[in-house]
Amino acid sequence: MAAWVLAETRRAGVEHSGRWFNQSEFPTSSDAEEENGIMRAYRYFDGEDRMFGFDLTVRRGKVAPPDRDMLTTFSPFHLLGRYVDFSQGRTIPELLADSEHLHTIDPDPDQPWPGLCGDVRLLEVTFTLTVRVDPAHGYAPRTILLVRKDFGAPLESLETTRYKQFDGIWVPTAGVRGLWTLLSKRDRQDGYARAVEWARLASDLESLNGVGGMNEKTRTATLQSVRRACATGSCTGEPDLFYHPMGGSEQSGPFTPEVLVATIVSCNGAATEWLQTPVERWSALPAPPTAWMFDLFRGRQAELSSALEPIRFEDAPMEKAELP
Amino acid sequence: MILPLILFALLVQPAPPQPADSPAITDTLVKEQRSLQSLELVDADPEEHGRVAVGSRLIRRLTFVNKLDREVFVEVLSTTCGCTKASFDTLRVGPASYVALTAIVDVAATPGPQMQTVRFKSSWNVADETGVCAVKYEPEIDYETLPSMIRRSAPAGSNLQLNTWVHWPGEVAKRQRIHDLSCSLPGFSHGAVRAITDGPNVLAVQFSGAVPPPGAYRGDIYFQVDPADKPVRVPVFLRSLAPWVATPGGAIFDGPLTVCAVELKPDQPSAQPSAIRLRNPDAPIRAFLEPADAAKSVRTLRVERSGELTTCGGTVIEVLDSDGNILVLIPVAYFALPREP
Repeated sequence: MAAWVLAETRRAGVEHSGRWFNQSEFPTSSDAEEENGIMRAYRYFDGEDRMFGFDLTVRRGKVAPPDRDMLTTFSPFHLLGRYVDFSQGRTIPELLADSEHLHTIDPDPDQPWPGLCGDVRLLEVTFTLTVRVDPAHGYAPRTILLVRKDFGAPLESLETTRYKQFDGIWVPTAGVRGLWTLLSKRDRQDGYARAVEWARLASDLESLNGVGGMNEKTRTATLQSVRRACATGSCTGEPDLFYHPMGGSEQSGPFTPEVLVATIVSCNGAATEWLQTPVERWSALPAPPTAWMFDLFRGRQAELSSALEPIRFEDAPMEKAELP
Repeated sequence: MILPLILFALLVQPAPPQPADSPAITDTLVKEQRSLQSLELVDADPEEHGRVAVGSRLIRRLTFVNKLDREVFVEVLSTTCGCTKASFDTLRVGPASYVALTAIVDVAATPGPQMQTVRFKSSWNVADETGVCAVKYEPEIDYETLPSMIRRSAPAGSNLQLNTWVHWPGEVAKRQRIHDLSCSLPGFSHGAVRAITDGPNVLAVQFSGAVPPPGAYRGDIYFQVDPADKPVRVPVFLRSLAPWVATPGGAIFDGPLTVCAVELKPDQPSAQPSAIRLRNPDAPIRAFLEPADAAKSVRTLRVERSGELTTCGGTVIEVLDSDGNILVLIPVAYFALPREP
């Protein structure tokens, strides 16, 4: 039986300097880390080198450079197109400005918003990027679609279904992200059948949870977007390949599309007091004395207090043969 | 990173209480595995694989026999990592018939002891239960470099250090193993290898420089770590922040709007705005700085469209100080929309 589940609840703040935090709760299937089936985590990036990630459930964590954390965790920034360029971090205007065959597209009955379309190169692969903007919401991106040009297969879709205005800017507060992957029908016949079945099940959205608080208009738009993000199909010129929602060929089912419902507390101001006083807040986390972190910068396990100490540099050790 | 993304899931019933007469298994199995009512484990590859090479593939196969007098259905529910795949060789198991579960783990360069688990379900006409299969190992890591990419934001003109970290688990770092440093980001060509106080097995490849004028910049850090045969490449994306911020961050003219006010305020210590420059002088846009009010730190920029819009396009307003330095960039878009008939 298929069901929609609440993937994660998260409180997050991002500052233009690059600092960010998020505190999240999500269900887990890991027996080793399970506590009533819910994991709680806190992560904070200092905007420079260190991301402090702490698992509040098992009371362990790590201090490490951030990597692709902000790219993978679906947020309103994705709906603004901030992470479409996973290779170089260009914004949507920067991507389109560099694109070939750039042209305008007209509204259509299914997606009644005008937009721009062009070819972009990401990691040496050519994608067709289509961005529709919503004139009723300050020309903010409404839909963003990245399609692999050689196979005609979608890679990522982003659709905003609700906005709220802050300081003259329309910020996405609800939306849907779809991610797709490719599979060979010949090699994975069971996977193909499973992906098709999942797409059929996903079209029954009456059991969709986690969209509370939406009005009828937003809910309808969200469900339409989810249907688009559940598409499964054959690839152009490669009939053996098919695309399907990421994970859709597995027995456990796909983990996309994802639906985001956000409440924006503050914009263009201090995100939250958590960003203002991260260390004090961090020290106040409900962690027992046995809590520890793996501090990559010191290459060893450390207690919370010492993991918070600033990094200090010294001259790198030299081989005896090189010493003067 | 996959777990937080999971949106679909199968509904899993809690495992029933363990029977007192569970068969003894010599392997160090996770508890639930030998407590299944429906399946008895009759053969299993070892759970512990010890130290294994990064990139290698671990396969653990477990064979069960159906203890019940009726058919059971088996399926894999979940794995703890995208690096782990698992499947049964059949999905329907008759009474006294065998079924094999195969778990495959692709070993990633994650330091320290690792354990991946596979959760599976066995169900029959009146009940179902879950079991868990574990694979334990420790990747053999010579060294690791982090992060795989650097994304930074910093105020224009400020001094910035870009650090890449090389970590040798359980081994004392030696600077001589890192050489041929280079960085293609403008202004960041000078690199050095630095050690961390109280971090004997970590070195930083550090490039320092002054952040260029506001805008987006890309480059790559390269360095060689012996004994690897190819250099490490770390892409760098630097967004240079203007010292003043604008609210709203831009302006759009698409209808009756003829003028809008943009509030400017300093975000970093800097000079006062004194001039305006349009990147596209043909744009039907004009901008004026309203006179400064000594009692306020904010300034107001008045942006107007000149006449009727007959075309679509955009420009960027540069607000400059008296030396011509950019204080803030304000994008402007304009649309000539068709008139209602």
